[in-house]
Amino acid sequence: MGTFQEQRYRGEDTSDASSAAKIAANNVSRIFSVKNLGEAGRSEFVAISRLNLTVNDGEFLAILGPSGCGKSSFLDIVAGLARPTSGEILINGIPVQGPSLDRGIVLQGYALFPWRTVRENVEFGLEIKKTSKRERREISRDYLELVGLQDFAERYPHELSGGMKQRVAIARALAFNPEILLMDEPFGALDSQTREMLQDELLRIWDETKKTILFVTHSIDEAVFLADRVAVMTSNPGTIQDIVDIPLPRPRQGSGIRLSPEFGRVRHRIWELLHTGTEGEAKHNRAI
Amino acid sequence: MTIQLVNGLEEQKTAPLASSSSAKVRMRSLGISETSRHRSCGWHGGRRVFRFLGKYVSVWLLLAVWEVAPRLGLVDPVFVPPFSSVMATVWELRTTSDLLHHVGISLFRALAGFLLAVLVALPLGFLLGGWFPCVEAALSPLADVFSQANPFILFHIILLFLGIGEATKVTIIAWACVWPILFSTIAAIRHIDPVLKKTAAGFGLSRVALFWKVVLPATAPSLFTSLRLSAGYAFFMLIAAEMMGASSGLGWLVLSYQENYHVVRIFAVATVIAVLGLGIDGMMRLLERLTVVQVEPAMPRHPGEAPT
Repeated sequence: MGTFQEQRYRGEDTSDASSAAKIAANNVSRIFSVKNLGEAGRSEFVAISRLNLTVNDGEFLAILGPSGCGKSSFLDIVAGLARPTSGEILINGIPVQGPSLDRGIVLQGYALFPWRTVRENVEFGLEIKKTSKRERREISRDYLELVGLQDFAERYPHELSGGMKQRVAIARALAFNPEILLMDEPFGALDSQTREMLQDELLRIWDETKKTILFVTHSIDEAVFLADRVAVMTSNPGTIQDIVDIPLPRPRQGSGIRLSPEFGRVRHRIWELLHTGTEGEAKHNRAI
Repeated sequence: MTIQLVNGLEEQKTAPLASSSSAKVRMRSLGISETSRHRSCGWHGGRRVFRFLGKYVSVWLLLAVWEVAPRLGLVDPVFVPPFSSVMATVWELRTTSDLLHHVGISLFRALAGFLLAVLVALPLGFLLGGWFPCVEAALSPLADVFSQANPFILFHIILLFLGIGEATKVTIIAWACVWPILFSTIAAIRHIDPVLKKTAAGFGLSRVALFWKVVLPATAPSLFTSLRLSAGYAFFMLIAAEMMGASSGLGWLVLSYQENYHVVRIFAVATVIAVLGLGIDGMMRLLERLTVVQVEPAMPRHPGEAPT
């Protein structure tokens, strides 16, 4: 399972290339010790096994896989919220020790701080950076304008709709200017219309801010629409099956590209990838 | 309010969202004004006084019954004096029994005991709930046992150590309040939304910063509720303590009137105690309203309406 992507990347993995990579995951494994059901003792559950991945500067990379394949665990490790059992994550060549302000995180449940206004939520990271109050105001106003919510700056999160909350979460993750944005199924809790609208929004924001984005999703359409490359993960154990280049032209937002034949071809290719691992599929089904 | 906003923005789906002027125009056309944080119970345009009276109409009815029933002989006026004579007695006691002095002493004891409990239980609750959950797991059975100790009995034991002075009463009041505050604090920390915790952790905050910036504000609503309830317990325990071992205060006053069969004075002091209790509760609610962001109710108020 690991050999295919090792073959693909053996050429790229010279020391020059890996130090130029924004994010490099080297042989990352994550093994959980779980209690046995109905009997004593513990057994190992391999969530991620020897995962290797490089993300380039300014790239939009989607990680696609079925539920339970370990993609969220992997994102937690990149974020520094969990430690791998073995292997390491390098950001700009430096190993990750824990969470920090060089990475911004957007999760599925928005998790806006309900006791803070929209503006105060966006300013959260800036407060940690000890930015001056005036500068904080300016920056938060800029990012709220970027996501189109500058008129809601003094509202509280409970007064917003789901789509608006997610936009605030994006603004909050961008405001302190991290190099990397990590997104874990951020549009999963939204209706499909809002979801498509926010996908357009995200691409527009990405054009303007030029961040490196690592985007976890289980939707093939979403991954193909948004990303430069899609890393297809299998589950049980979680590892990268293949990395697909998305040759679709940009800008993709605001266009009918979702309906183009090229889109359909790429989408189908990925769909087949997800379904060819019949052994893996059956194992995964048993695991659920 | 929120529903109006959502509908207004659905119209904008195809138009670019970054234009602030068009958004402002749309908001004005929808007539969106200031958010009303507190919904009234349905009175439209009534004067505040009228609304206030309406809200407590059941209380006014009770007072009316209290006034009329003894006068009509429905209840024996010796055992249940009418409301007006109780009020008159309260006024009289201001001078004859130095009522305000006793009120002051009682409030002082209750406040001292409550503050002592808060100063002990809040930090301890945060430590055990957040930083040292293993210690909490070890100490929690012990805490369960201690919290079950009947405070009225404990009072007499403390009396042996600390005598009949103020310390005993303040201690027992603090004891009664410490347990609810401690347990609520630990529970509140446990129940912080895990997605919120994960997001906050993603910012790479130190433990101290995490506490002040996230844990404290996140637990504030339930903390305030437990503080308000504990203030009630403090007052409750105070009266009991004053009846069991004191020579001043409202509880002692009731006891001395009881021993002398001054029924109307018992009622008078009981009313004062009730009003004080309400006042304390009201003050705590006000404090809560001023400090904590009030979230609108999550359940739909009318069938068919989407929850906020």
